[in-house]
Amino acid sequence: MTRFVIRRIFALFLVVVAGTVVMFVITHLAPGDPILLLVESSQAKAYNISAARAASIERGEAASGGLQAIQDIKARWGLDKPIYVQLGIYLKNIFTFDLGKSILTQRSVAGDIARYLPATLELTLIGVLGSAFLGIAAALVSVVYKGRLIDHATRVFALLGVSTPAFVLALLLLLAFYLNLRWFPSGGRIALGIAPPKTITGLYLVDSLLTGNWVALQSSFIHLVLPSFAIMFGGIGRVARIARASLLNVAKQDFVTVGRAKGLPEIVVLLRYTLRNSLIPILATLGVVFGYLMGGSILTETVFSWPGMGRYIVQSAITLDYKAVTGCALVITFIYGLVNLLVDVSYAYVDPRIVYD
Amino acid sequence: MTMRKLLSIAVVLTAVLSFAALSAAAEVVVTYGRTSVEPGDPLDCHFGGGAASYQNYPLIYEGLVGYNNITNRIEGLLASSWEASEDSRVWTFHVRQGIKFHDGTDLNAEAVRFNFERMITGVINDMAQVNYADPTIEVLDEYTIRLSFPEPFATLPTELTYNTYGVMSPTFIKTNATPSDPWAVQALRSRAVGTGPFVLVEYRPNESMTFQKFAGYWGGVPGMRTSPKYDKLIMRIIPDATTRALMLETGELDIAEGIPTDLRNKLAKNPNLKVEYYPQANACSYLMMNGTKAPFDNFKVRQAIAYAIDYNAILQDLEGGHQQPMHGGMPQGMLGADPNGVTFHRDLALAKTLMAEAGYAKGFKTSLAFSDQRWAGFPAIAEVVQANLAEIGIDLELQAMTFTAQKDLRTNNTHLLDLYTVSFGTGDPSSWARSVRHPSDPIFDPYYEYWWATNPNVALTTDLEEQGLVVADPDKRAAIYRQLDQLAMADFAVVPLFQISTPYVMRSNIYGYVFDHWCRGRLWQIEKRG
Repeated sequence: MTRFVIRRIFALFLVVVAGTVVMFVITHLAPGDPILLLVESSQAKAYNISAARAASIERGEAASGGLQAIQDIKARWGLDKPIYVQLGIYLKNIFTFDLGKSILTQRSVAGDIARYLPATLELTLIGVLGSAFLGIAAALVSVVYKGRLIDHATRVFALLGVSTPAFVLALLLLLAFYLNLRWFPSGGRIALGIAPPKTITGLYLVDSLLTGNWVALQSSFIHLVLPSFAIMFGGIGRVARIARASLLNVAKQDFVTVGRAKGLPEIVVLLRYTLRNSLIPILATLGVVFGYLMGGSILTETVFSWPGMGRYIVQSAITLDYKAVTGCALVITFIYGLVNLLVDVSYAYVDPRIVYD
Repeated sequence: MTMRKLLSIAVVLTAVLSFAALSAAAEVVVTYGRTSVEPGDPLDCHFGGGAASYQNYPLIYEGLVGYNNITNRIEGLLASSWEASEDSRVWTFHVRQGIKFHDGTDLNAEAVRFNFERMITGVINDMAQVNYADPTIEVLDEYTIRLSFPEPFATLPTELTYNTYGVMSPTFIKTNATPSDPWAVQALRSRAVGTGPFVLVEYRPNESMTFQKFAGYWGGVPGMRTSPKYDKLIMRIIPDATTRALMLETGELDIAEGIPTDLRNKLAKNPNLKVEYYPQANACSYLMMNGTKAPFDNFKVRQAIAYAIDYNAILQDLEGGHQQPMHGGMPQGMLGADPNGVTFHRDLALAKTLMAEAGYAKGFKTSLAFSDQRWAGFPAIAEVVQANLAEIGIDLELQAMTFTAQKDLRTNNTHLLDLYTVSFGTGDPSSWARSVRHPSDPIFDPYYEYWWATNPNVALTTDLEEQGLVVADPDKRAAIYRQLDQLAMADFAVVPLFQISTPYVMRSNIYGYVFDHWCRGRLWQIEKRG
């Protein structure tokens, strides 16, 4: 097992490096120049550079003042070097957790990610847990009442979940539960008047529990309901569909019939015999759902003004902020790889017949 | 219970309730909905920040001078007055007395000098002209400071109106400085101390900023900065337009920016809301032609295109009559803009004749680049332009792209036709003038948003542009830029479409908000009634 995990961690490392290289190259090959946007976004102070240049012409110097100024800015950002040199420097720096400086925010990318990642993780984790519990529950109901109206209803619900984009659902939820019913807030992680809990993990629910801050706990819970449901809905659908198929498949097997023939209560047959043996495909799906929810949270975060990584990624991609885009891709690749590694390891616990090495 | 008892209970209850209502109403809070994630450091004005920070800086900080919205001139803010030498190289500013920073310390000439030092040698703002102009700064007495430049600097007052030049408390910077961070850049990521009408009380990155009215505010100058008529301002970052619209409807937001046309039209029908439009003097949309490329190097082809466009359809049908028609290439409100300048109109017969005269009676095939990141209405406008040009035989391929990609086309001179919105920096005409340079102009720089003008009189336009940078007298400058505009328009390399108006949706009890010509939102002027 240990050797398996070490091998997988090494493979994960390779995947992260390969992903980083691909992302780095793609962003640098994309047309556009972020430095120009920097000049642009600061209300085009560029004419000043031209003015300085007009003065240099007056003094009889070479007419390169403005261009030189842009070149100086590029040099300061290290963008004047050939792409392979930039890539080499970037890869070298990764080992010291230095992901470079964002052109857009002018802060360290690692710092920016550290600031926005907890919010996204909190939303995604709640989404995955909810998808697992509600998806499996829906599948169990479906299996117990197989072929009945409630089974069909559950399957339609699951199909809706798989086919509704999270941001569309997010808007519908806001319309119903914020604008009309006023049950839930419009967005954000916690109410404005309430101070966020002391940072321990960065997850507001966990931190407010750990510090016993009940006011913050209540507010952050209420703020989580709509956004987490919006991203969870698709996950529930995916898990429910796989779980139903898997449960039905296992339910047909001899040991289940034997268990039932022994006179075991139906609930024991269902949970201990059927569900336990159906878990492998469900776990595999959860690994995929995690990635799907992290992706889906980008738009959902925007709708609910959720201060997570999604908006940072969108903003960086639009402005071609190389280091920020690459850094986010790196972190997401790592998290996704790690989650799938955990899923693989958990197989061995769920099914003792599975032995690694 | 007797009637009298009931009545007295009612009286007491009413008294208690109205007292509660009164104390609740004591604090007037205005909540403003902002669109974007903050680029740059949203509290450190010396970094230059980005468009999204322009709303924060003037709340917290004030500069030596500013635009007066009433007189429409540049006037002293922290400076009571100033003088320039004959050759505009030496500028002396008299700092206003009796002004205090939010931390209670006094403003004086030394504080201003310290701020210039931080900007020029400390945090180094790439975009501040003063950095490039290399001034010598001297404190003459407690309230007098002198800036001496090696070259004439006629646009210095305009430059100093920019939010980058806000004055921070030196005491705050010095007490938060560390050996590795001598200019307290870290501290300014969560706190800020200036002289402005608002004190920052809480900052939640990418979520909200809360400001309290500054009790010790010096009073400001009408039309520039004034003491707020309410107690608390909350700026919330709500990136999704639909969410902002819903929050306006419930009253959670009092005012919001960036509500797109369809939502705006819907919200305008709500009696609790209103839409207001503010014309900008530093942003216009144009149809641009690359005059260095065939067939746009043909003057008659350029003219034909200009006469084929249905301006009315664009302004009225697509933009709902909210954008301002243009008179010449300069935006109205900018120094030198001519209210009677040329206005382009549609004349299809003339356009067809011109095409025939140019030798393109059968038309030609070309492409139009645009980005909805630059103007949300461009995709629809592109379709109108496509239909209009089809009428004179031009087969137009529409190329929607990101703004960075479009900018790249222009930098490499591979563009043909462009829909483009240009913003003209501080609103000084020199920032407009750089866009009319010809590629053979010695100070032409392919990085900027020029028009690829083809006019044969390069020497004259170059000369005019240089004069505009040196002459300090506003009337003389106006004449220079007016002449430059006439030359540019006669060239037909660029077709002005409209001057941009920025819409804001707000609750109907919000009055007095001004988003002025120069894109400076004056949130302190808001009055929240009822």
